[in-house]
Amino acid sequence: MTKKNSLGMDMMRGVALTIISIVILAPFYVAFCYAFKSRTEFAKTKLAFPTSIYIKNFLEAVQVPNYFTAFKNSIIVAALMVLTVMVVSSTCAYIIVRKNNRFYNTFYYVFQFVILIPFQTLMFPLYRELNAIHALNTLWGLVLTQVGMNVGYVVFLYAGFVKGIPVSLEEAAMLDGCNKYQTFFRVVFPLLKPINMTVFVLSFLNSWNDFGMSMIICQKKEVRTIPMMQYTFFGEYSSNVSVAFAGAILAMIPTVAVYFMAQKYIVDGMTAGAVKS
Amino acid sequence: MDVKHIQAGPVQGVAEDFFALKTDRNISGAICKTHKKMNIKSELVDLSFLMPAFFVLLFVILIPLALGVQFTFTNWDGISPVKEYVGLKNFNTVFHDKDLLVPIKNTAFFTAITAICVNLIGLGLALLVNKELKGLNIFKSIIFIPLVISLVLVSQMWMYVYNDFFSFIGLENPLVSKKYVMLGLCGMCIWKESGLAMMVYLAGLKSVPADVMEAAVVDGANAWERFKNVTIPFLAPAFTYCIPLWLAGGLRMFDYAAVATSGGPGDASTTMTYYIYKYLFPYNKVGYGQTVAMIYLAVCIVISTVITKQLRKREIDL
Repeated sequence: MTKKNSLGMDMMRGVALTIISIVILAPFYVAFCYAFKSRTEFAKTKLAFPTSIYIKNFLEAVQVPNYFTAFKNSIIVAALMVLTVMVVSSTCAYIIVRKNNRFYNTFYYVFQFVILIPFQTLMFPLYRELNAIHALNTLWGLVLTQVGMNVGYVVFLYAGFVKGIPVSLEEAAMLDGCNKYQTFFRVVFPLLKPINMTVFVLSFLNSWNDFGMSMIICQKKEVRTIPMMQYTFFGEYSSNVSVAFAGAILAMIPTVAVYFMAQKYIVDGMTAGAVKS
Repeated sequence: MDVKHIQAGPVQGVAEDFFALKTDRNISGAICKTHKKMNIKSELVDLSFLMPAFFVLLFVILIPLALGVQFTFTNWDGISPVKEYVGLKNFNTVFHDKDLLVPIKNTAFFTAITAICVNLIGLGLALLVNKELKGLNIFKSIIFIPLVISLVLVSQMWMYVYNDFFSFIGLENPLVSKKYVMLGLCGMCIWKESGLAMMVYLAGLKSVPADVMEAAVVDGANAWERFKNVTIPFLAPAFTYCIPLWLAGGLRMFDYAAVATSGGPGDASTTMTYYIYKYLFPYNKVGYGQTVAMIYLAVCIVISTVITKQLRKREIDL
């Protein structure tokens, strides 16, 4: 009786989840369907399943001027941003946790406070400031801003993890003659590996997908990143949606690849602090 | 992605070794001197760990914060080299401004609807996938995918879903209707972010100890009682995490309005952040725009802090 019952429940579960998955995948269907249709087929059938796979849209998309520039810019920005945010936040969180005195804890509060600030409320003064030091329309200006907007949360993630690392290893390294920097980068940093992975993936996604900041800081064509380029792309190609979607799908590949490779770390990072330990 | 984060964790335990060091120094003259030198050097080394992150923060957040406060007292257009100081006039304007009511209403609507729906749907999905069953992982992966897609692409895909698919099934495109445009944007957000709520609640469900649950079954509690009295208390940390997260997310919503509707039709989907953007950049009214921005910043911080504190208190009660 109960077995039958639970089998029925599992069936219901399966049906419900299948329907939800279809809803989740439907917008992707629209994107793929349009990307693989020629102009004439698109005009005739719109949402119907494509009758043939029309690759030309993708070729046309990558030939759009600045497509590769935007790709390259996004890669440079994401790489520098991830590297910087990892180094500055891990060192910062480490010293705050290890010192644990009033002075350092005040800084921790400042970092926490910053997490709550919406970017748009400070974007204009920041814009003026970047303009003053000639960092507007440069990639490093964008990297700096992205690091600043993410450093609060990343310090929080690292601080939670460092608390769980025993001090004894560091003391041993110090006795062996390592200075503080060597101790941190040779002993502590490797121990942070799980959280490093999480920070790596989250920061990469934040940087790669960022639109609000790049919209203000990198407006010139030469320094546009992918979301910014896509934004203008859909405007300019509104008569040829297929090409715009083809470009969008290509730009989506790195994030989806990262997602499938590092799903566990994304979930860990996003759910950190949400469970009673 | 745009994962919005909010997590206000109090730092545990304050400051013992800071004072301990001070007493150390009083031992005796000669020792004290070398000690002091070493201490200063080691303190500087320690500070060098903190400073890179702090300088970035100083440059990107704290200096703009100070500049932003300064701009609120001017009627600057953001371009001309001179700023005229007008005292508190901007604040006066803001508090009597009827134009602000629309973005306030839109933001409140978006925040309330998305926070409620994302959390309820997330919890429901977590209950659905919380079972050791073959194939469930595939569903979890699928439901989570939208989270890694950029908001720009989400907006663009949905623009065509609303435009082409909705007309195909005989519905009106919500994005061109003044009445339904905010609901349309809420739909995008719920679609994108329910997967994250699911994962958080799932982590909470996994923390319910099996023996407690079995005890409840033995005591004859029915499914609803078990859910209410056993599961919900264990989910408390998840609620404390999720509710402020989506409140803060709703309050800072910008990309959907900017990409999918440009705040339109009319100003029907102008949110607070988009309103601030419009006044600061296209309209060049920096004095006014920045005043709205600074007040809004304070409001966001107060709301987030108060809600988090309240939820923490509740959490202890449970």
